[in-house]
Amino acid sequence: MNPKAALPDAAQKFLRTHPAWFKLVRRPVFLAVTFALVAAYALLVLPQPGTASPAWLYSSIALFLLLVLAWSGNVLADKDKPEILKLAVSLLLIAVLGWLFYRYSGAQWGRLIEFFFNFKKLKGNWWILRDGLGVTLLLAVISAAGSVLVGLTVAVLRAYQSRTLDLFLKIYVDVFRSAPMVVIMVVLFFALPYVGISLGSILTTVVALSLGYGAYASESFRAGIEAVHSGQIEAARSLGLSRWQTIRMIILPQAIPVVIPPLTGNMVSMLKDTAVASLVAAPELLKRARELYTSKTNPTALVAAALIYLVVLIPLVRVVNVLEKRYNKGSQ
Amino acid sequence: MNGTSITDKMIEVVDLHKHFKDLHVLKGVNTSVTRSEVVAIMGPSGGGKSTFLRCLNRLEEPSSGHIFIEGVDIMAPYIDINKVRTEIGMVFQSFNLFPHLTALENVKLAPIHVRRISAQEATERGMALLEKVGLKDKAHAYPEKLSGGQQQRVAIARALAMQPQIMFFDEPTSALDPEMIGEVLDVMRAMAREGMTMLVVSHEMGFIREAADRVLFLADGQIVEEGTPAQIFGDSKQVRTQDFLSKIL
Repeated sequence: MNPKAALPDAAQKFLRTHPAWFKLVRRPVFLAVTFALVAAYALLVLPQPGTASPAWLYSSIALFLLLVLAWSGNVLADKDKPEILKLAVSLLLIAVLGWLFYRYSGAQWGRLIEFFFNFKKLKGNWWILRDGLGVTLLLAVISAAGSVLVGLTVAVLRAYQSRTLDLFLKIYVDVFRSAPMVVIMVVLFFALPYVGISLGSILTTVVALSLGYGAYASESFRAGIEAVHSGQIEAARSLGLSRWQTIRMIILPQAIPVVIPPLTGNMVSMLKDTAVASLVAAPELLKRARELYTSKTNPTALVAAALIYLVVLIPLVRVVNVLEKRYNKGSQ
Repeated sequence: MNGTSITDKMIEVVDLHKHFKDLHVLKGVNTSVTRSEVVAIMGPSGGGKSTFLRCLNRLEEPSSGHIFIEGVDIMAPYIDINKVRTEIGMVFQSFNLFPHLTALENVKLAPIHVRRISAQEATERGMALLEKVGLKDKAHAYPEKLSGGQQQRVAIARALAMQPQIMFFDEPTSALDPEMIGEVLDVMRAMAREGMTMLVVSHEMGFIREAADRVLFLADGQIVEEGTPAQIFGDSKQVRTQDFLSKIL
């Protein structure tokens, strides 16, 4: 039976052929003519800022926005148009919207650039940010190793299925997954000295990140361990392997490849969270940028720090993405 | 001990019970197995066959009763169960080969790490066993590259590599395609001929008739009937047994 037969007449007609007006608006000629019209409107009709009455200004801008969006929407919604054209139209749309904002918002662009993007002020001081980045990366690498060690230990201990041990480990995991990293770090740094434990800012950061992200890592490892089929454990135990041998030689080799993508994701989050260490005066990137901000009375250093974080983190985020894809492909 | 020395009695089970929460799976099983005996365990699913077998090497913890393996009470508190398990090879319905190891590595693992023999000796023993099950050329293949029948034969070689006194088979051919059942049963027949003590949960009538010395019919957690294959298949005394056999024949 033809499933189309059940559709109403109007729908059937639409499936067979588009109406004439639809074909017309998708023609290149139509697009070119309307583009010229919209451009003419922008150049001739849109008033200069500050010269027209607000009512006329706002309504003409609103109409312009409507025309621009309708025109680009018409191109972007057409599945027969090439992607390169759609990309060009998208970029043009962004440029037009930016131009509108630039022209009519009344922002003080010169001040903005002088204030936030005044990289001249950083001249001769880039080494401070470079040192900060070095400390950030060092903190991240040491804490990554620490959190993997903590997470693996906790997950393996939980695999022994001792009720009492499990209770305490679960409390650890839940507490550290619930507490914000800021709180963990501040408590370790400012409260522990009162009980005679003074770790210093670097060690506080490493301990806080290792414990905090160790809790997450243990959950990843546990999921990986639980994903190993119970028949594997039975086969190993029936051969006389001890629990520890079974975990080490049978379970972990199968669990760890599964765990690597989520674990790498956690480590990237941890790299970002090293910024929290600036609160306990660890001399990492954000802390050094804030020092520059204070001494130069200019926030460009903070913008520079933000850009450095992006440059380091975006490639890592891509790596995580690739790892996840590769794992998903492998498991199919 | 009326003629039988203690070492001739490989397995003795006394009043074995197993509960899974409210479920009473084994309700007092008593039996014994002598050296070189091949015992087939049959019965309806849910009757406790697998649980019974798995209790005998404590993969499943029995709720009460006594199990003696070569005269040793394996329920005793001081017992090292890993030591006991080295004497009992086990073959599973779903093969359970270690997927991250090659066939040969699967076979070598326990002899090296449990029996503590040298890697070279383990390799030689492993290759000999793989040859015996007809898979010498697949020694370096990973399990995913092997057919079900080949995987099960590697699993048998892996169990034999520990040189166990007893072999357990838990429905070894149930997960296999029909054309692969024969190759696995051939290996098992050869083992039976060589005098291995075997407990086999299976419904392969041909194999049981030919290779088994005794059949245990297990239903509702108890041994309903036992006897030689000829007695059970041809002349069973219990309605439950007859009923079951009529369904699978």
